[in-house]
Amino acid sequence: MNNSKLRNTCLVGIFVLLALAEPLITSRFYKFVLALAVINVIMVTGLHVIFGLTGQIFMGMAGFWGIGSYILALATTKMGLGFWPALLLSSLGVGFMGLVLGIPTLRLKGYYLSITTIGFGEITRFILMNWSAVTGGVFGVFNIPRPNFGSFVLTNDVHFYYFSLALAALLAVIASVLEDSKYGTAFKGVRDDELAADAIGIDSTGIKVMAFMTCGLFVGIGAGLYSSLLTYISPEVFTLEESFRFVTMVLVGGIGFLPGAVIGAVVLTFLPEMLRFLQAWYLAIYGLIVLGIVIYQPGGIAGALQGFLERRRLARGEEKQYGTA
Amino acid sequence: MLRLEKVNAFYGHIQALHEVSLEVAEGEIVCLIGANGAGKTTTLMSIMGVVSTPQGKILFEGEDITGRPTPSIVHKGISCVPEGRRIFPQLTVMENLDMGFYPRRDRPAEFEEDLERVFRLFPVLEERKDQLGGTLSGGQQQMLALARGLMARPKLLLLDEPSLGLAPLLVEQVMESIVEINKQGTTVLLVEQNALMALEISHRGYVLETGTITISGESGKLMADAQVRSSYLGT
Repeated sequence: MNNSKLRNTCLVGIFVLLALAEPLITSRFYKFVLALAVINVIMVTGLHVIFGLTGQIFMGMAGFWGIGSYILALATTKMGLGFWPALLLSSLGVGFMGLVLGIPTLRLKGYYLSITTIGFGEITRFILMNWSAVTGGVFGVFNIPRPNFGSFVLTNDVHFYYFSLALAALLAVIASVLEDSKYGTAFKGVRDDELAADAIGIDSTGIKVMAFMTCGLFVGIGAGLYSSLLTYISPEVFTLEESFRFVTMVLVGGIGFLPGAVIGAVVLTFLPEMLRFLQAWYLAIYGLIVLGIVIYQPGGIAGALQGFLERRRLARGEEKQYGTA
Repeated sequence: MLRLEKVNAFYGHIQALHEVSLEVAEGEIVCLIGANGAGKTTTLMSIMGVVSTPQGKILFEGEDITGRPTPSIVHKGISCVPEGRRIFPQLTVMENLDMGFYPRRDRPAEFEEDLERVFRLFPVLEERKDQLGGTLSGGQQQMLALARGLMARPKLLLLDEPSLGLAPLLVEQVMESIVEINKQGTTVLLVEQNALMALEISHRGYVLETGTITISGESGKLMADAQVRSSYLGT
């Protein structure tokens, strides 16, 4: 099975499972966590483009997330825009931030880029917190509307969930099409060997800026949905810890394989909530689980799955196709 | 076709090239030989615009391309196969070739034609087209790197140490394919430490020593030159 076929099959499977899971969850709290998980799936789809495909360690996800959330919140509550134009604005706004952040920083490589993007995330949080005249400061923004179709408003959490899931699936399709296009190959080429990409005439800086923008467009949509789900946002959630969490989702799921990132997003949204009963111990246990995955299964959940398929093929006596993708 | 006029290149404060002048005429294979650190790679990187703006003049088909961005240089018709092959290990053979075609992506109709050409040159790549680049043997990776360079349909192909790390038999094979590529109409500038091989297949050669061209001439004459023989051919 080639890689994009495996990816598509896995994605379909995951989204069907997510659709079926909702009625099985009875607790209202976990229904809410599930909706958050789907929003994180959208965010991680964006991060997959810049981190998984293009190989740039982006540690400023909280910045993108914060900006997107505030654009939708302020556009709907202060500018009187409807949900849809506000969501579009949030997507375009964060995409534009990707461009603005991308152009000056993408000449930096590796850890230098990570550190700069950490700075970007932190600066964003401080601006959201202190520019009270616009953002409402530490008090945040209230009464953010839910999505609507004409006069039908998705106040019901179940409706909201399926709406988000549909958007997440649509964005996963877009990301997959992008990945299979020549630009997708260029993203992966820059990840594999930037100098070689340059030497054969690929504008690697341009490719990276494009990946950053795409990431922003996706994250803007996820972030807009986030404010709409909560109907209230405040700046203190958009922390560096959250940026790390998004990167961990991709790592735990398996770098460069979209279904892996999606599974990572769902697992790492639920895990902290399910470990809450441990109280003070929960961060330690959570950390141990993540460490365990990274040490014993460095290919992440996706790597484990691919290993399993490979073993099954061997067990069936088929010739091992070494290194085929 | 390509002319370098008194090119100086620097890494920080260190000058790597001192007034390097050389010329490559259409249809030729020209080799640039020299020891480690002589500035061979730097010369290629200056042509490709990868090294930050060199001084002097680099002319391609009469046009000044000094310090132009790399994609525009590739677009003009120069393609480079970098040292150490540098294929994309996590991409399949096909995807690697796709990448080579990327600068010409506005002409998708020509893709099949070019693909056929490189598969005829390197049939092994067709057999392994779905395999990951990183799983190929060294010789196959070098062929892939050459094929990837050809996918940009260059008028001038710059080759940086194509024999590096290959078994003697494979070196022979790679050199033969370079001659074949040249016969099909691509001009070649070949950088090599394997001076004997390089001189054997090239028309003319330049010897680079610590950033300066010291000897140049027809390859046959260079092979007979006493100084070249003692320094580079070991005889």
